[in-house]
Amino acid sequence: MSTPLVSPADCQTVVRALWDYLDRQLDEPQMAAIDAHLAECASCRAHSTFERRLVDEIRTARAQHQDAAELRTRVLETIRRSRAEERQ
Amino acid sequence: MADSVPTSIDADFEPVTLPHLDAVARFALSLTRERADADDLVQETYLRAFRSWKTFRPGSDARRWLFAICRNAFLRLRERRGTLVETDDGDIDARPTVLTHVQAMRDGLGDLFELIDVRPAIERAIAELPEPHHTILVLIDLEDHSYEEAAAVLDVPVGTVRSRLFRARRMIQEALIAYAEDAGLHRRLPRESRADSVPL
Repeated sequence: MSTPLVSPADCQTVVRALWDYLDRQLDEPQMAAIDAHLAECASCRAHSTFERRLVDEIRTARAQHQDAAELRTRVLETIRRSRAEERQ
Repeated sequence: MADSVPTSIDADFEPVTLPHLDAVARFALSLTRERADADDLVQETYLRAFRSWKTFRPGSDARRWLFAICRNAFLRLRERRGTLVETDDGDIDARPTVLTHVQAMRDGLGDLFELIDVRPAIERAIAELPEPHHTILVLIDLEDHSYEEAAAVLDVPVGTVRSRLFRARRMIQEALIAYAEDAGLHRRLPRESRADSVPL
């Protein structure tokens, strides 16, 4: 359940809804209300910019599995062994 | 049971599930935090998936189905080892995180992303997140699941996903600020130069 918004949005409401806004979980009028508030409010804009950067940094930290080919072979062997057992 | 997995269905298993192997492997690693354990978990996941393949609905989301199996296999493993310690606290909205940022601004760390390379601290903070917050963050921020998809994988309400995700992000932010302080960037600014912030 997202935070209800009134228009024009006030600072408290924008702050509470910030994650929903950054994750685009709000409907269009709610997004627009926050956009309008951020355009006018430097404090909320600073918080929004910071939290957006935080999420961007988290998302770029995705670890790559480095040995997928070997793992794929192991998985296939496991499946084929199980398949053979079931058909016996 | 020779006929438990009909050949025609059996033949679909690999082309449907194997394209998700890398994502499942990343998810498994995020759960176990150890590469060898993660590889074992992936094998167990695919073995369980194969054995229950007849329950998979053709055309449904195979990645979500595999992630749910992986998560359940991991939990079963942790239960057997007696190491499952879950906390259930979350944040109902972004206010606690913003308050942390307000304090950081007052301490001269409002723009810490411009001051330091935060990547090492981010990676360590993610790795050190406790469950269930770690899993939620991985599913949504690292594996691009929606709130609803993560809720389906974990079999919890969407509201629980939200609150745990928000709490996880706050914990990472707090770890980043601590990292910046350890790097000597913490400074008390004169009151008149402190950033104004929202009266929260």
